[in-house]
Amino acid sequence: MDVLTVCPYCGVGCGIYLRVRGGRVDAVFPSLNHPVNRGSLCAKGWSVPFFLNHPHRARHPLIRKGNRFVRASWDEALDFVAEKLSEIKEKYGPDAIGVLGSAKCTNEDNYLIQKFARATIGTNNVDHCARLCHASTVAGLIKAFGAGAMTNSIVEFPEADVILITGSDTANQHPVIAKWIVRAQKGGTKIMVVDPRRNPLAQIADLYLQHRPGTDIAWINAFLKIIIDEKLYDKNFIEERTENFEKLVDSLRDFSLDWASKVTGIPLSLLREGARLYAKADRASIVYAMGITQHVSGTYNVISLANLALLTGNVGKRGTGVNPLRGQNNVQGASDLAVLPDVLPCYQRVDDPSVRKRYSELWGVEIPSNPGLTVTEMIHSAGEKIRAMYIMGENPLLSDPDINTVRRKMGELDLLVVQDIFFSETAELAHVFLPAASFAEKDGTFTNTERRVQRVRKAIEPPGEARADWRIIADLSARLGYPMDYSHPCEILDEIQRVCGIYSGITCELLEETFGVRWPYDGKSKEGTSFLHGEKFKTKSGKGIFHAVDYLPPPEGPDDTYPLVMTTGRSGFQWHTGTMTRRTPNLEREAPEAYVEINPEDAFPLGIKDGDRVRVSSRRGEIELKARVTEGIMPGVVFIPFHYREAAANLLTGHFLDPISKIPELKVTAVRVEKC
Amino acid sequence: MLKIDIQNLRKITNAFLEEGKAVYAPRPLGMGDFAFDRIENHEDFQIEGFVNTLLPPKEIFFRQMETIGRFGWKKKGLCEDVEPEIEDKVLLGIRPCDLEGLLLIDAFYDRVGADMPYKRRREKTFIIAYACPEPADTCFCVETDSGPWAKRGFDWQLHWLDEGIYLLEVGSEKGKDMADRFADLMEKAGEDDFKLLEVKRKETLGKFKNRPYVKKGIGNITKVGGEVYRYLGERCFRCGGCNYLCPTCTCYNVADIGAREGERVLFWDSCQFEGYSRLAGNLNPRPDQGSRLKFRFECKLAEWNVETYGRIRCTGCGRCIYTCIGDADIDLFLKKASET
Ligand code: SF4
Ligand code: SF4
Ligand code: SF4
Repeated sequence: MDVLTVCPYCGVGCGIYLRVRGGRVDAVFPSLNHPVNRGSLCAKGWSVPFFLNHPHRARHPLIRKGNRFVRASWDEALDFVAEKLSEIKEKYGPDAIGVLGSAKCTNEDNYLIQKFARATIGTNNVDHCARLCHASTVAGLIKAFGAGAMTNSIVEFPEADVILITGSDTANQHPVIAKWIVRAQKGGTKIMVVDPRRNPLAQIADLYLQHRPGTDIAWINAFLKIIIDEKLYDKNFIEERTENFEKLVDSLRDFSLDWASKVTGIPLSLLREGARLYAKADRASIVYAMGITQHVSGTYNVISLANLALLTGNVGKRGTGVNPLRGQNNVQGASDLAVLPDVLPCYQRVDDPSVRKRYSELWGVEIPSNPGLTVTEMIHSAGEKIRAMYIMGENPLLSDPDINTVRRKMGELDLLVVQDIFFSETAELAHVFLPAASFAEKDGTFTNTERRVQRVRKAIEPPGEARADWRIIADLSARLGYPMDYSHPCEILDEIQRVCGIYSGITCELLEETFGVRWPYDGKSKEGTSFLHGEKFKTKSGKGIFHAVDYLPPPEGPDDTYPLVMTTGRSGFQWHTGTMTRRTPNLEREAPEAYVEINPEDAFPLGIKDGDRVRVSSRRGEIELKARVTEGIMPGVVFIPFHYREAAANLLTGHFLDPISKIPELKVTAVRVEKC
Repeated sequence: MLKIDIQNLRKITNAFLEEGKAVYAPRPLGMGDFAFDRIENHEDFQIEGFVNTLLPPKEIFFRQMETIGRFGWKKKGLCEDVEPEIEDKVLLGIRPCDLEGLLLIDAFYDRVGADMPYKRRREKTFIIAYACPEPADTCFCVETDSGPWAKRGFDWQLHWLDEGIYLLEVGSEKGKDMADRFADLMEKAGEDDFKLLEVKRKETLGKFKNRPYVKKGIGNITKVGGEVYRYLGERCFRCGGCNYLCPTCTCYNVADIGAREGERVLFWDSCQFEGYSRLAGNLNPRPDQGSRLKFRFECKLAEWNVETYGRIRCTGCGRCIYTCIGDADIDLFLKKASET
């Protein structure tokens, strides 16, 4: 039997079939007709069955007794959690409890977990790892365009004349999107990459600009300046569809291109060439990812890119737009459904009384009015303001910055409940562990990076006593006096589409007839909306809004003690904290160990040769790993993938937050490298 | 030659199923997708109306991933083999390129003599091939001498005459006995049918995309320069798909999954991975992607294949073309090779 579902790894959302034999998934293959992947998968997608069948999958609920975990029944475990949560709520109030949803779980799981936080517990302390990847995208694009999502669709890439890719290692992180980009190039589209690392797409790009990490606003402003000076902007578009153009022009009046060239490390001639290439294109599309967002200036980086698109009229038509590539398979959905501390489903602000009133009526309880804490804030006030945390499907102990502090803080909680498919690093600190069903063992929906809501289908039974996340939450909620009566995730989706405008009309029945529907669904075109902002922007005035943005240097520049800049990222063969991929033999073989990429110019004076073991230290910690001496990284910069617990890059990163979106600075950390 | 229609073909399929044979055939998955898989009911398969299944039927014999043993140290210690199921199989509707692929995998395992689950599954398989009336853009079996109709390896072959009507060609003794058994569900083909078949075949051949560079590229394979491999190497993003979907690829890896107890698993491997050819001490005889692609193209196309297997080991199914997430496929390679 072959079951159509969605790849659980990245936000591309490839359509896959799981082949079930004897109650197990023993093969996976791509759909030939799925509009996103058309017969392709990346190496991760091809190895999905491995983690599903892994003998280490969690099978039973566990309760900590002293230093040991003992097996418990579901009733025991849930009763225990309910009792503890009530106690803590009683003693310290609901805001002493923090809840993390998960970008790996379904829309239905996530909708329920934020409802659980808000309605059952009574707190807005609910967040998820989007904080660490695209919080700044949501904040920035909402300011500029009024909607925090990819403006255009994947299949439109070949229609662009120019694709500008920045801060995205697309070939490794969104490989099947790279397929579309490479095919676009074959058809005549020009590819421009701006990135500190010469990644595979940079290697084949028509134009490659290498900039220092953290200097994005400087090069984007340089582009804006050149386009304005040379009058390459789209006058009609600016007049008809935007606001604040004068402000932008004013802010750039004294902008020095020589300064920008010096700060970014990009020669002036290349800045000009890049700006012209982008501006002169009839249709130009911007693609970006964490290299733009994971900075203290993340929100402003995103806004700068939006400026660029507005200035040249590259929004609101096919083959254009500002296109954040979302990392996790369902980070779009988890954000849409408000696993975020300041909004209710569909990005409706929780501090707006009319919004709250509506949800209070819908859910039958008063919704708390004060916005809650973010992931990073929750963890850093653990043991103080936050006494209990409930974590569904996340592993902050490896994914969050400054791990030593995270570990210490989480150790101080009165109650830590972790619900996951594997017993993760974070679970080791838990008081109660609840085994969850994987994506192949439950029904529901995921929303991919292009807003495509797709059906996830149950193919097999969960191992042991593991249960679907939505069911665990509902059972727990009932014990806390707020029953959630759903017999199937389709009923939850039905509630979602009733309460959340952009999901309106998207039901299980509709999804049955398609490979997913891109929100918003207008009731007509079967695949939903291909691109946003066609007639009007989603802002209050209906216009796209320019913002004057000043360059802000990264918080921790290199100095004498820590002379190099470390930037973090991922390998194409491991996924985040490796919970699934490190258990997959061919992926683990391909990327078995941590490494640091360093330019020969930096390596030589330190006596470091390719393959040597080196120590990398920052103000917060140190790790040992292998050196990869390569010209692919610019001098003065080193790169470390963050997957490996034995050399966790996040032991080095700091706790500097973007003041608007609270995303941490993960791309610029001052470090020192020495030979071991 | 005989003639049969779809209703009678379903009746025969039903007879096979009732005898307890395991019937594998293409099955619609909805929205235009098809898979070659075991069917439980004679109404469940569809032969025509699509080009080919995404996974080649080799997956029935050589599984993407299968447990070949279990181990554990918990109690007394456990160490047991897991045997593949032995079934009396019927393969219904296999395309000529994929049939040629099976024959090449047979020859490979015969040559290396490995005791593979594949070999045991391959025994006792009755093959009903389906000659393709309608190629896809990516198909080039005409250039690799493996289609659009099969010349060997089948017990029966169905040739499309009209919707639901086929000529049935017998290809073996086994096939003849089986045709005799179901003689009342078939009729003898006449002159008109043969004439129609010729017309249809011509039409089919006319639908293939013209690829004069295939034979030329194959002929040039030893002369292809480093710059071609470098170009392609930069455009391969190492998904492994070209190997996984190839009906002639045989490479696998074995790994123990789990620590104190677990399973020994045999699974498809890909020579496009860096780790595939990495040796101890991190030495790699194929250190860059260009050299890994060179390895694959030569493994499929080089002259030694003809000496060893009597033919090249690309059957022109085209799967590695559409699955490529980069731009490093065999079609582009052959084009570049032909220009060398
Ligand atoms: S590109 Fe993303 S969704 Fe597609 S197979 Fe790879 S990991 Fe899965
Ligand atoms: S090399 Fe490509 S075209 Fe040739 S048989 Fe294999 S998958 Fe098919
Ligand atoms: S299908 Fe293409 S990208 Fe994937 S491994 Fe093969 S050549 Fe490389």
